[in-house]
Amino acid sequence: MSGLLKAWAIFLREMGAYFFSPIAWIVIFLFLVINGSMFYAFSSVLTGQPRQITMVVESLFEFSIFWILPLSPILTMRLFAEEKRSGSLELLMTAPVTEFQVVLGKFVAAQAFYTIVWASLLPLLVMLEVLGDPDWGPIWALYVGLFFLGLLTNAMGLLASASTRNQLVSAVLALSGNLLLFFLQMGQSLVPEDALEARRWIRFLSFTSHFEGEYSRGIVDLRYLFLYASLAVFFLFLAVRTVEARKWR
Amino acid sequence: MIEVLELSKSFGPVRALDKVSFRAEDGQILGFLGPNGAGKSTTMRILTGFLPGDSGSVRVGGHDVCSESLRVRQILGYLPEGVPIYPEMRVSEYLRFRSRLKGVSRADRRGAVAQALADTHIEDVANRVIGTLSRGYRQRVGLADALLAKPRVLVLDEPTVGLDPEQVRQFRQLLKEVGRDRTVILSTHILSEVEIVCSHVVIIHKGRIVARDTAQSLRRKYGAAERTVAEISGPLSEIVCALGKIEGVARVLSSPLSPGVEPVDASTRFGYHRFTLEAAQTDDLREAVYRAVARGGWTLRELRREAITLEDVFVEIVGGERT
Repeated sequence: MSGLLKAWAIFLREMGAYFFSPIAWIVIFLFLVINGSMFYAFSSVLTGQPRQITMVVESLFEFSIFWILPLSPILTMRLFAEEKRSGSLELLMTAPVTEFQVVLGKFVAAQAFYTIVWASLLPLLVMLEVLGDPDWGPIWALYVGLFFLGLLTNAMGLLASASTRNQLVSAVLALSGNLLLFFLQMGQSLVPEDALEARRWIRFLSFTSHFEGEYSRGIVDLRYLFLYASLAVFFLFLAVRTVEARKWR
Repeated sequence: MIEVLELSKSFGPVRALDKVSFRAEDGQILGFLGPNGAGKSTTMRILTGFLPGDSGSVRVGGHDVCSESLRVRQILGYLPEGVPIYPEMRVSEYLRFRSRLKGVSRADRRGAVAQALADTHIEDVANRVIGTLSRGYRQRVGLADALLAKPRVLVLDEPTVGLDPEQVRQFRQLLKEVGRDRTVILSTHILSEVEIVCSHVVIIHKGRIVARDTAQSLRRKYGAAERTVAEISGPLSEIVCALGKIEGVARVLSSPLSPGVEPVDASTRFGYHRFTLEAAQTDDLREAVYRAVARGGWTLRELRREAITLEDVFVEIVGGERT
């Protein structure tokens, strides 16, 4: 219990740091401006179409999927790299907290901020609700998918940040990880057509296909959520070990 | 209580600490003295459990810093070198965060923060953002953090760097107050600080302990505890000879006082020399010196006793190592 309180203390401080730093505001600002103008563009182009509202929602999410790539790297790059560079990690780790509590607190903060950024799209969707009758099934499914995917990308970003003292290196590492997941689907073409099992696995691991396939049709496949969550736990475990690694040299 | 036994630590090929042993009891303020790069900060990091040693054992408050790291960190306040604290937080906010981390209960938190602010005299900047504070204030915020949660052991790495003389004086006062019932270890390369504050001294050089004792007995061990300084004008060789004959004098050193600038004494027509006499015991040599001068008919214009400072001890030990 007191262990969770310490993770909570880390969480509060990291949330404070997010809202203090300009990066958070720049991210939210760009996110809203770009998605807002896209929303406007989609709405005007698709006016008069029979499935107008559904198509607007679909296009909006299809487009905002690209935000997954830079979002987590930006949100997580500071978390450990900055502490290492400034030396404050020394003060942090000489307080009576475990590496796990620190990693947990920072991770939950990143995840919370990630969720806040995605939630900033909600007013656009509420507007659709007021003006029309959107199908909320796919919307919630997408949100669930984004949340769980965030667990994975934020955990990867945290691991990247724990392994360097340079924020830029951390961001590039995390971005490379995301790109790998993103373009995994293209790997399908490298596999022979008749290797169905291999193709099935690639499709299972590549998250873009999940968004194009299931979520936008309102299907929440628990296998995917489990996949993201367990990979996230794995990366968080590696992050804890990486913070501990200073003791092994 | 801090107990360090045969502690060694290497960074790659560099041997940072070589079989370092020392101990500090409750109520002691231990000065950890050494030139830059001697291994002071490395020792502090191992004491606080941030880094492990390669071999040897370190116990703080009876707990091993490796296997019982959390217990050690619970009773420990640490001020690292350079005070790396979050620049974007406000002082009181930062101290609240730290007290949460240190497990101060919700009910005691406000009181603990207020006490730490008062102890370090930083109530006036409690609502300022740390990044805008001057070096001296940041240092004191770090110290306030170290004092939170009333640790039994305080580890302070270069605590007075960046403080102005008045703040240094207040800090020493504070240290004496808090050091009464706990163990304090502070590293420094400022000798006068150790002289004033510390009861015990460990001198470390190139990763090895070269001296370990109370400040007083260290001074006694390395040369006489006191020396007598006299400024005399007269024929140099005769004076040296006469002073050397005084009973109990172990060594006479003489140095001319900037000839040409210093006026020549009118009666003797000799320039002044400063003579430093080191006694084998702590006898007062001043009367004997006066009598010798009077017998020779020379002029004496200054005669005083001087305590040997740690600086002399330090120079002797560290300088001796170099040659």
